[in-house]
Amino acid sequence: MTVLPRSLERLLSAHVTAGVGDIDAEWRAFVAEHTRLLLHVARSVSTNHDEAMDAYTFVLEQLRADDFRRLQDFAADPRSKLSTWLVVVARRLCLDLYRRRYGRNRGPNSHSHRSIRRRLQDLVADGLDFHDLPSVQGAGAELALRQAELHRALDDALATLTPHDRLVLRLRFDDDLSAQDIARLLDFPSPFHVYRHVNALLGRLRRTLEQRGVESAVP
Amino acid sequence: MRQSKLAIVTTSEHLSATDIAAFIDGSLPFADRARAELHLSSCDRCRQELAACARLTNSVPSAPRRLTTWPLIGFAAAVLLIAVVLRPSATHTDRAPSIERASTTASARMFAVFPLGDAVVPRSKLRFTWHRDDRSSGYRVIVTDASGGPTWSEDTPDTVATPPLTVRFDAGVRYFWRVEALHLDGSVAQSAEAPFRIGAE
Repeated sequence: MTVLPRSLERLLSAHVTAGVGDIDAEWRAFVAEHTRLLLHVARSVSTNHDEAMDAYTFVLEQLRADDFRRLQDFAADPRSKLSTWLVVVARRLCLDLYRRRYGRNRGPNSHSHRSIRRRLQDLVADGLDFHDLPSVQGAGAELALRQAELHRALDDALATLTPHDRLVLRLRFDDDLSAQDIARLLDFPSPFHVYRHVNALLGRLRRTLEQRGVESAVP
Repeated sequence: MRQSKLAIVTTSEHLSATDIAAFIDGSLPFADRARAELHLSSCDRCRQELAACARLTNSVPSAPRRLTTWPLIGFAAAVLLIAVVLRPSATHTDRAPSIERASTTASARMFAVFPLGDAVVPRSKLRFTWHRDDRSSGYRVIVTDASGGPTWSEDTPDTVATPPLTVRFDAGVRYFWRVEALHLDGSVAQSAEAPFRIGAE
């Protein structure tokens, strides 16, 4: 069972038994302990200083709202470290604020997302060159059809992998997570083991594509 | 309705903040983790959130230590002892003139080459270089601002990294950079943090 940090225990205890002054003091102590983490999260959502400070303030307001409801829910059933939970919750709150102000964007930067995805395709196909469909629409219907077939073949090959292996590749190539972060997240002994596993998976995908007759990038 | 104490992760429902945090910490029960991996392997939204939060969790800057007088004196005495009694033997190397000695990790040192010592660099010429680590399988360059907030980072197999011009660096502001080398045995070597500033073109 996860042990609650003392600052959280004291804050929630003061909320139940003590006066307003004590609650404020414990809240200030809690904020002081976690302010670096919360600022780090706020800055990750917006590099603009003023926006990041607005987001940081919003997160604190929401954590205190409804008699510290979120913190109470965490304390009632802690399944992770408080710091990890704060990162996730704070990030969601920052994104909520951002979307309220600027609307829901199209997700991750579309251009970089496509280029990262193309890296996976290039690595698997070892010289195959998958172009984005829109860029070849002017080049003829037959070319577009062949491109679509190549995309489907790669998706089919990915479907032959286990969920764990698909997750490894997606974290590496779709989300650009470092080998070190993947190793920590998915319990690999070291980043080197991640590199080795990714290379093995790419080889397997390559062989699957070859078995399905995908041997050349030329449509 | 109050949520059950058991982690409930289905393949169709998006992961809750609690589930994401537990996944990052490795504290999901085995069966729930398997279900979460199945969901994550096909859900871009949850997977992107997981990746972003994992990255943030692993990069939270640590609090600066407040040094009091006596520990500082003790540290200075230890440094003096090492410098006088345990002089490192001189060996021939082809180090570049402006090398900043790296802080040691348990396994190895990394040597940043440029920029060092609060160097002022025009934005268009900003490029990070360091010495090769023969045991390395790759490097990660990390740039932060004065408060430790992340500015830019990149994984590379080379010993040089250039931040794209789309990454913003403010003129006159002090930044800090360091480089980490991933070794094949899983250990990591890290250079000391070096300050630099962006100057006029």
